Amino acid sequence: MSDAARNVAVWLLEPGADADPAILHRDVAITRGELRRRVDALAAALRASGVARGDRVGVLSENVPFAVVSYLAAIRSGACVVPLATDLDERGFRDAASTTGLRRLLVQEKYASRALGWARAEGVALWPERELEGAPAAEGRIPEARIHGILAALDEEPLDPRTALAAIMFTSGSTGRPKGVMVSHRNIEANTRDIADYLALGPRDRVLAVLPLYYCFGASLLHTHLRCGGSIALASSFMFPEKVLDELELRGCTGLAGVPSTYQILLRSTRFARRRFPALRWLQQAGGKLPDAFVRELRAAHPGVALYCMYGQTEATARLSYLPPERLDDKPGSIGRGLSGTRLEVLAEGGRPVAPEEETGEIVASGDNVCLGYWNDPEETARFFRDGKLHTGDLARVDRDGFIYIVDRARSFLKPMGNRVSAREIEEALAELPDVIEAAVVGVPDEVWGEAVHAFVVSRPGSVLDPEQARDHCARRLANYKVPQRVSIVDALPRGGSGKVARERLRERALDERTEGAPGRAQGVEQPGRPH
Amino acid sequence: MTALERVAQVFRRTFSLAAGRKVDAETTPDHVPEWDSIGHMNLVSGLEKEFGLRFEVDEIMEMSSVAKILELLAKRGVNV
Repeated sequence: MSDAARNVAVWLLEPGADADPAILHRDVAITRGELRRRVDALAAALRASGVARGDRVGVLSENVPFAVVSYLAAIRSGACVVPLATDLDERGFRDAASTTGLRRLLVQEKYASRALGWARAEGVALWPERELEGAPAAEGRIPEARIHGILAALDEEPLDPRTALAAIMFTSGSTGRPKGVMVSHRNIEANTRDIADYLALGPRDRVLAVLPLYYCFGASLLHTHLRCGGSIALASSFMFPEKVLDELELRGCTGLAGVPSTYQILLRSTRFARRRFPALRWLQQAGGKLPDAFVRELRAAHPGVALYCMYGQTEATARLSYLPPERLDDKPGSIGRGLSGTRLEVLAEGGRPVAPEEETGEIVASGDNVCLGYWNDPEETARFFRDGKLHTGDLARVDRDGFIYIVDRARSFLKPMGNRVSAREIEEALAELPDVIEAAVVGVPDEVWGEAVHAFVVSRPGSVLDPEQARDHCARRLANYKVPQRVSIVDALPRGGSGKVARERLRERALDERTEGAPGRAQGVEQPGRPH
Repeated sequence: MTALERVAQVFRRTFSLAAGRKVDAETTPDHVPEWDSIGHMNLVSGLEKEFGLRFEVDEIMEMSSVAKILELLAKRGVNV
């Protein structure tokens, strides 16, 4: 196998001595050597069972070692891995399985009984964790002597890393039905190099992976830390965040990665700001903009730790840009510039670059991390992937130094009284209230306003924040047409698997609340929720 | 009925578990796929209704196993 044509799983697993740690989960530590052996064994077993190059192999698992082994083994076998969200219901699972033509599903024991019936109905062969673990040659029961032969034969087959699919990653579906993004071997390699480079990752780095591996940001943590020779501590859930912090401390992690809500919850509902983490070197944040108020709090709480605010999309493997931590003061709120291998442009209609500091345009990306399109969806592919460039649908401005500032998702704009208003601007204003953990704003059709602004606010434990106070604050901070007509205090925001807010569900809820109340006039009506 | 049996009943109701499905002190979210973050809030509501209590947010964040739930119930005066 020539260097240029190698399987990206081999490339990811290459660094590190056999005895070096690779994966940690609770009391389990898996070395580099053991990880390589287990991935090879399962890859050979998949191959021996008839999985051919390009076949889709699903993985349904939380962040446990099984998920890592299965993900890498599916890619190593020449198949295309399809990581599935663990919170899929039957319909979601069957949609994903039928659109991708899934042939096998590697499933964590916990989900095996739930997935059994669903998989049968879709004609997918189920490989439960229990049948793979503990077998004589570990994963897959292939005698060790045969594993080498099977993999050597596999490596003889030509592989074009630019076109061969390594994974189909589903978008988080925060604005609609999830789409399967086709990720090539080259995409993963290119993005991994760039990310590991700007974070200056090395063998001593250890990330706490609380983001699920089926989300592109979670997968990027695995890729980068394998390739830099570092290690990954897996946290299977964020349900008990103080326990996650215990792991961060106990495992001596050098880094933590999260979406905005990760940090908002850590800052407002745990002792994160007061606890010390001597090994912690950096924090990565992506998956939407962290409101400026939280950026300030985070830096004040851990002044010696570098905060990387970053921007990406599943359609670009994971990452598109980052703001160097030393620019947080002079470029606050910026997503920075493109990665070294990614060209980012902000284009006005007609495709010309916007005038700096004057116009707003769409972010368009090109580079080896731009994926191949959406699986089985030529229409959506043609909409977002044109001439080898990714049209992100994110609207932005650019300053004279080339730093990019996202204004909002094109489809997250509201139009109260005909004014174009960014949901994010209102959410940021709400986040300034010290009792607010997070806020999400949606628009609902309204006979008076055209589109009425409805804010959902999660307040911190023990707070007595009421909807009227939240509206008063917005009224002081924002133009009158941006002040929410209605504020609901809720226990939690609905989320997709990636942790992003499921805005469609909030819109439905906002509509329900309006039908229950007086349309167009109800102001500051509190949704019955948990009294704090 | 013991407190554990009552808790087990709340689990079965909340997560629509089969009648024979084992719920004991060792049960954690690792064993029950439906026990995710939204499931947790439903579980807490079920427990509050069953025991006539209101839990504080700090307590809710600690309910990481059936054993922990029983511990909290005991602290709140439930006979376990």
